[in-house]
Amino acid sequence: MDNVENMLEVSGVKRSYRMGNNTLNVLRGIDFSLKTGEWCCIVGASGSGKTTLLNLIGTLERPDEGIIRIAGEDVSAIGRRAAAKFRAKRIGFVFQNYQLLPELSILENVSLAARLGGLSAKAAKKRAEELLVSVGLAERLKHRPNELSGGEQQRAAIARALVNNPDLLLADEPTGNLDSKTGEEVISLFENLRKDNPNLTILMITHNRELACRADKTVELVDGLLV
Amino acid sequence: MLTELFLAGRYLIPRRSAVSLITVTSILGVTLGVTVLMVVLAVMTGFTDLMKTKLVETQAHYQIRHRRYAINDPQRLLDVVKAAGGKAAPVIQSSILVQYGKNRLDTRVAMFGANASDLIEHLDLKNKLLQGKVYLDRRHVVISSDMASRWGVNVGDKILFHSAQKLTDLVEFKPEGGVAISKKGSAYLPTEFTVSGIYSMGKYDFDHIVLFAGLDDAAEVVDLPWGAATAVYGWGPDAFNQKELLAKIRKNLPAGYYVFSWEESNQRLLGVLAVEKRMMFFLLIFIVLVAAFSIANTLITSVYQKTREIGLLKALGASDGMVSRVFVAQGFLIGVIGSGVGTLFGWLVIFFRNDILQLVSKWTHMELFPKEFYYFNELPAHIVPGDVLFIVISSIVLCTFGALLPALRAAYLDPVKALRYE
Repeated sequence: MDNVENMLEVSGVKRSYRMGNNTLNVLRGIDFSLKTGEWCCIVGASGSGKTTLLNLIGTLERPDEGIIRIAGEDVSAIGRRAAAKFRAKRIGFVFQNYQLLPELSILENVSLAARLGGLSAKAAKKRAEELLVSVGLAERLKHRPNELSGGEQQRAAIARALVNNPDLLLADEPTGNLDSKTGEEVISLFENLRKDNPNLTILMITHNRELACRADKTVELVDGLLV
Repeated sequence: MLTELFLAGRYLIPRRSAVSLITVTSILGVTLGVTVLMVVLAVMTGFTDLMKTKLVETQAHYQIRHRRYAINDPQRLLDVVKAAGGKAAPVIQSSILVQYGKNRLDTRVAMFGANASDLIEHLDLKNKLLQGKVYLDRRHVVISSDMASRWGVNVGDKILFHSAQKLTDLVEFKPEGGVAISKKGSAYLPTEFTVSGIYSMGKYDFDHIVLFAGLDDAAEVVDLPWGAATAVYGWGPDAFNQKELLAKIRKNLPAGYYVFSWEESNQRLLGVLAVEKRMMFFLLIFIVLVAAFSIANTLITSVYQKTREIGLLKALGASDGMVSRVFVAQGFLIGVIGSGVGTLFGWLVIFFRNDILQLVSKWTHMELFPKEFYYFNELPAHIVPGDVLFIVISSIVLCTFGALLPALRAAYLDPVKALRYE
């Protein structure tokens, strides 16, 4: 990645959905940007469009209007295959409910993401092992997700999100399913990660305003608009 | 592709249980189809091979005949065959009526007239003998064990031969209608023969109708001149590879004569066997086809169950093609495992086929392959590697195609909707 000042630029992004005969305007013109290495929290009520915005930035869907640039690259109109490739190498996802594959051990979960990012099976395993050790799961490598606590699963999910050294980490309420103590541990992990990866840009959705205060920047989404 | 195979393997054999019931059911369907296909085709091939062997054992490798007449000078033809590198013997074949007991008549008997030495050399008659000896001079005959039990005769007993030709010569149609004794007709006596030996070729239809007589006696029975024959039977070094030999013989045959191989004289039978084998394959492959549909159903269910996981894979960067390949690979793996296990089971069933048959016959009190209809005492089988390969490849292809529909559905899932799927 070239060293760009703005890792993320969102301008004039609109997204609506058809619900029968009605059109639901979820995002009504979003403009904002994030500098490389910045940590931004998006807060807002349920249904305000936070997850939709995250999905658009994560190239999981396309905006109706507007442009999204990640590391200077316009991703708002790329095809499905190119988007998949982009996600594999440049974006890391952390979900509220962890979304680890139940059939695989956490080592396999993380190394699978590395393999999708282009690493060989051997290199992927090595990289996954390193990351899982760094998030404190050295003793749990062979365990399946249902054998881990929520906090451990989320730490494994964070390791998976970072395995391909992404430019942008998108986290959708990463502490939403955790108790306050475990949530605090996860947030501390994010903070430590930033220290180790100063260029890592994080965009996080949260309901927790206290947590949002620890980010570099907080934006609020109200009825599809940033305030 | 390794990643897809890895994921497909994990979906088929999940770690949370030692065995996935759905996977086992899918594999069993393919296994059953492959086993049945392999056993049936091996038995059909074995049966065809046995038929061919029996045909070659009880027939000449080739025959030379005149287009219209009997052969008055077979020696000329014997010389042609010898020059080409084969061996030959003059024979007389004719339908006769055999009178046995006081006045019982068997109308379905084929007399095979030849020199005893030729029969011993080419049909291995000495080793097929159950009683007596191969002695065909002075009106002696060798009959089959089937005839011996049917007629109630034994070595040393007398039987009478009626010539169908002589009987028909006795009468003629009158111009004004009706029949009368023919002008050349005269009273004739059947020829009396003594049974010198009893044989069994182990080929039911042959044993049922064929008896052996000396060449000169046979000529007398059918009213042929001494030294004549109805055909010249020939044998070569390899009955299954004799094109060159036949070409040489054909080239030097006198006008009016023709040569044909045992394959040509049994063309219909061999053709029917080949068609039956192909038909059985196409009928039984439907078992695998049904198994492929079952795989499709299983994988469609799996796609629904794993919708969120599919969404996650896409979020992590798996392309539509890769997601589809994960499901196609599941069909492929089921095909490979099912075919592998099916081939092993098929081999075991074929190996123990006769023990299995005996058990089934014992339990059901039924003879599964009656000797009257089949040419064997034990179930023949011959595994042809090409057949097995064809079965395995067809099964894997069908299973892989069975996975295509669910794979396409998985490929086109919207990742956002899939991630939200409950």
